[in-house]
Amino acid sequence: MNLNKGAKHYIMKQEKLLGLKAKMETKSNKSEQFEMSRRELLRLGKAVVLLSMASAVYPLSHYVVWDSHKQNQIVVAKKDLMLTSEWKRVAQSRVWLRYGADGPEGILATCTHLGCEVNFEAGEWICPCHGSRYDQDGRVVHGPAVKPLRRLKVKEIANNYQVEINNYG
Amino acid sequence: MAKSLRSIAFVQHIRPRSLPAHSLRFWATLCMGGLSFLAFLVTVVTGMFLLFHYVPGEQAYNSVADIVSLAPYGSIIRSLHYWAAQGMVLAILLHMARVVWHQAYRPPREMNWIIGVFLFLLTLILDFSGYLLRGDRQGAAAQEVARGLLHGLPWGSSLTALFFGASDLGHGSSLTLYVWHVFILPGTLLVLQLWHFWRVRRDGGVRPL
Repeated sequence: MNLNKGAKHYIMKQEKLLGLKAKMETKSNKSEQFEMSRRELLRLGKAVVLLSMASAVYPLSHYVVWDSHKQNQIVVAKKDLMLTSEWKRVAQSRVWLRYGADGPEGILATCTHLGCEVNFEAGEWICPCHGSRYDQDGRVVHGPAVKPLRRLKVKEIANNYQVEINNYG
Repeated sequence: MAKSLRSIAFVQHIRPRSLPAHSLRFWATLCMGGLSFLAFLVTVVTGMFLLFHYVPGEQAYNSVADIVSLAPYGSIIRSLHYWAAQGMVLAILLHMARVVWHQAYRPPREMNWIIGVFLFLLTLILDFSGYLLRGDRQGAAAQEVARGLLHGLPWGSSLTALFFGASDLGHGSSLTLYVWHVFILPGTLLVLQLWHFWRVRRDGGVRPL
């Protein structure tokens, strides 16, 4: 055989290692089935870490491209909700509508304190959680809330009311 | 390539060929310094992602609420940021307790102890600024208190303007505070950390009791 010095050295090293392994095996045959050097274990650990980082790419890219300014809309047919000057609730939502001086108005029945749904009772919005109260127009009458209820833009388009719910308050 | 990279002194320093065996022992460090650095890295990475959707100022509370409840995976990113920050403070406290227990603040390591104390203080300020940036009522009240405290110092009004912005707009979060939280404080922290780690080896590594 015509091996260079490095290769010979490598083979000798391997033989030495094998010899060592054989010695260990005669001492204890606990780990006969599954044997791994420290370096191999570290390499495996590195691979696991890299794989878990790679698995985060897909969810993170979803998170990054999410559009926080996207306007969600609710469309209500005029015949389903006859608007008066009193607040009326859009079915299965926290959106209430009424007909004000300048046309249709919308309000979100979510307490600005901690986000419970407020009820409209006897001309007042009342929060069942911590007792915040707002007047008809959503202004704070009683704490702990400090900000008024969120008002929503409503447009009349053909036979519908179109309510814009921006994610941001 | 790999070999030339390895021969650079800095890389040699980060990944040395040899180490004193006793400084690798678990009971020598309890891994607390390393864990606090790990927590720091987690806050940096998660914070980087929070930057995409967080809006400082008036919209702070709403944007945090949107990140948590609307953005996909937003709540786990925010939770990781929060808990890593809390964990970092805890790990640093335990790290300091270990250093005191081992009397590792004595010469020749006294300089590194001083750097460490500054690191701890910076971490607390960073933690506190994050608490304000949530923009809720608690944060707004805390900012009022902190403004009052800073105002009592010499050049108080300049200091409050420097850290919190010139006037209190009453929503806890402010652009000035945001700049400190995402850029100046973490940057300073990182530079001091690198100095801290370098000094560990320069002062002769960690010795068991």
